[in-house]
Amino acid sequence: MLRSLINRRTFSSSALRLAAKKQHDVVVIGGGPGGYVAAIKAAQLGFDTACVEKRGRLGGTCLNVGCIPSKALLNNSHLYHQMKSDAKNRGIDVKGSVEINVEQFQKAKDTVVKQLTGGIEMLFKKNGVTYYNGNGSFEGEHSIKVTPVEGVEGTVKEESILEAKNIIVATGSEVTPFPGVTIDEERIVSSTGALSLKEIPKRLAIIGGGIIGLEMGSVYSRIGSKVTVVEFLPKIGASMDGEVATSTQKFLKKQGLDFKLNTKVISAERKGEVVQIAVENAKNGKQETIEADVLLVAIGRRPYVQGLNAEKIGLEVDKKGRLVIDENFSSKHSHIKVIGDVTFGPMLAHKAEEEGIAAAEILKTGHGHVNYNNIPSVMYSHPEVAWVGKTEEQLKEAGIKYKVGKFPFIANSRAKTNLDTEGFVKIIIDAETERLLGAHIIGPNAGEMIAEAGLALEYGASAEDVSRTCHAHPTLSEAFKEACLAAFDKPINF
Amino acid sequence: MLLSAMLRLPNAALRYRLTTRCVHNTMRILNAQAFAMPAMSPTMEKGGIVEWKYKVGDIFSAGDVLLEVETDKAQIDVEALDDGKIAKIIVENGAKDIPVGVTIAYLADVNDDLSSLKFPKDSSSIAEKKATPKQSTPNKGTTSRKETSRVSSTDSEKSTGIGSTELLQKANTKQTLLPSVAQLLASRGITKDEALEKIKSSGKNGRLLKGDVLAYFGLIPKESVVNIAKYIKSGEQLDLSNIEFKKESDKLVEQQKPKENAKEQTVRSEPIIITEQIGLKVPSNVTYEQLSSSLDSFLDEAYHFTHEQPLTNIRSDFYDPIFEHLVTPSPTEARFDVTYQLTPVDTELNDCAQNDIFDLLSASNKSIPTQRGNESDTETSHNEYILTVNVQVNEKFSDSKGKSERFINYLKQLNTV
Repeated sequence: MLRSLINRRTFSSSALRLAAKKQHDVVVIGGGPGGYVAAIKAAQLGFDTACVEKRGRLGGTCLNVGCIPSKALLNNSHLYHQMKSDAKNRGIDVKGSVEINVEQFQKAKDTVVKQLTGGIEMLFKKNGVTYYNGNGSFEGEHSIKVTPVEGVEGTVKEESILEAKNIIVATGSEVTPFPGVTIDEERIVSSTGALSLKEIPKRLAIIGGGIIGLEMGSVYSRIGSKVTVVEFLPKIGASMDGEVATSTQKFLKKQGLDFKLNTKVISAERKGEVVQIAVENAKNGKQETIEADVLLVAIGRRPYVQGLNAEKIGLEVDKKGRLVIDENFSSKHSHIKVIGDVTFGPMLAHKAEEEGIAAAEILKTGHGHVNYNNIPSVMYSHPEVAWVGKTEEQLKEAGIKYKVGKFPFIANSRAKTNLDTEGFVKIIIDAETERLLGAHIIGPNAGEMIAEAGLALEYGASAEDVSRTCHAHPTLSEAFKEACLAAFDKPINF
Repeated sequence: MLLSAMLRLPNAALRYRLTTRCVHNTMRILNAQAFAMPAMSPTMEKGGIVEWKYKVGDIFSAGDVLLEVETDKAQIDVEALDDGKIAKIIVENGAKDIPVGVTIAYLADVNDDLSSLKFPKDSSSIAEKKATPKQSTPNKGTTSRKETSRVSSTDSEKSTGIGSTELLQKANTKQTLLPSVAQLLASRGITKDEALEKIKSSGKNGRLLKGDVLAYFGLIPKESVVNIAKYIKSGEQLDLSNIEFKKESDKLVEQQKPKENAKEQTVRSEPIIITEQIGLKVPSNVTYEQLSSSLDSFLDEAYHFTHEQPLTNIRSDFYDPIFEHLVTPSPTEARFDVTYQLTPVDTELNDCAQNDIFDLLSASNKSIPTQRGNESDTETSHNEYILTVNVQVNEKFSDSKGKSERFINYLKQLNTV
């Protein structure tokens, strides 16, 4: 009896020794686009770096259940839609029928996700980042406890404590639930569930006319769903320029999406295989019930700090649940940096990446920089909608005098030859200095074209500078140049 | 001579007018406004002061000739565009080779009282001063003052909300010109080097922007460059003002707390329960009922004892019953709840039960908790019972735990096994 007791004691103490502390210069909590980029950058800057991720796969929301899988669906559904509705005009006759194979449709998406997330692990190995597949939580100001996560493949075997000189928190965000609506990811889904529906719903209702809602609406509308978007605000597209939002709504409506703006959702309930959504017009109080096979709740995202145990070291949180930082991304402890969705600013993967780099550089050199004026947004509908910089509404509010230059794709030779002429480029410049303040594009490949606007903004270019830069012909980008011309002078081709 | 110069440089006069207007606008905010050596032509780098036409304290009105400036080409009258007053003359008559942009005087509004006037230390000429170190400075006082004026200038800027000196900087001489800038300079016949030397830049890293050149040529007001640069700068940072902190007491904290965390949370906030097992050796003629009823009263006694007696040493000199009464929160409220279970033990297992807690526990499991009597066991002289006491500590009071522990200790007297 005594011996067994002693044995037990030695066992537990050896277990303790195994859970011994590991030292790192930088520990990044979260392996999403903010966290993994910060980890790689920190390693490249010479820090002994570790990254803790509990999802089981790196890449965060973006790669696993966000940007990447949704773009796979968007692209393939667009191809299908074109073949079905557009091929004939272009002189392509399809013999037999064009059908969606939902299983393969989803598999194509999953393959991409797997490849990309696996790719990050390779990058970690290449750059010497230690990867802990487990839940990271604060034990102290300098120590992170890594615990195994149940049901996750390849998770760490046992608890360990990481001692870190510096810590970067990049825990990201999660779907904001709609009060009173229970998400079962089957009939009432979040964006995560909407990415892997087993069948095409006949009727899809979406709460929220933001980018996520409109993209998923586009996908399912193309492959045959009747889509209804319910938005509480009088306009769709979140932070879009007002004029762009109106035009976006118009073309989406043409594609078959139905919009209910100024409409409040009162309740949504699953009744067997259908979902009943009671809505009320915020203006006239008229109530009605929408029936749908699937309801997508896409009203936004909120900071995610589950399991982080941030309260243990007293990290401050604001009313929206964001971890509070200063201009150097420091929490109240200057060696603990916070970046990405879990703190302030727009919840975008590329914003988190920028911050990840800047935070790592601040740790190394004391300074790093993100230009928050110049963070582009893209909606991958067709045509795409992309914008960067200021909107007309923002400038009006700030009392800045501005000029607008617009150029429609209908006047662009490449768009014409592609039979893809929906949309326009809208350039906003300062009335006096003609400095570029914002660019808003609806059009084919707008997401790629917005990079040019970003570069111009970064370098303080005027509309003239862009228009004096040679653009290849015939390309869509000529529309961008012409819009700049229109802003300070006159366009040539319109 | 003078006339011809004026005729030859009509543009320069226009340009000058625009710059003074800009100066005037900021003057209203700053009280006294630095008046810099004007650039009478785009190529002018330095000039001399022939004569001030006004003395300190003199009032002048728009259109009056303020002073006569001498360049390498001509003598030019400098006119005032708005009404004002000379507040201070820094560079006196006859001074030569004063770089453009160096403060030569301070001007004030017509109604300003010179005695109470605040002189802002304008540092707008620092760039120029540094750029032309070879030039002998006519007024050494100016230079040394400039050197130390950075801090104070930002102070005054802060107070007025104008940061033009921060936003406009010396152009980076190693830059490739933007196409619009190159075009403008070429159309005016100014070389790149000259432009980079003279035109202040509002772009990042000293990049010369179209607006900077337009303002330099007087085609747009100078403020517009500063205003837009300021607006753009304000958006480059995250807006971290007016952060509303979540309060500790917010219910939301609990809700938004993650599942795992919530688990931890519940573990932490779970009521503290102290469990104590006490072995009782009772003569076999005592029935279960008798024992349990006497236990009831004993527990009651212990309960009251522990509640009534303060934890502190009442014989201590520091003990003051009145003070204790005041600081002890609701002395009458329960500090803990007691539940207990009395379990007879199979006597045959007694030996091991005393040694090994595991056996003891398994034995207690075997027995029926609500056994009515144990008469059947009366062959042995003693019956053994296990009294399991659960004390749930009321965490509202700081002294609850201490009192609970004392209660347990009190009960331990019973331990007879």
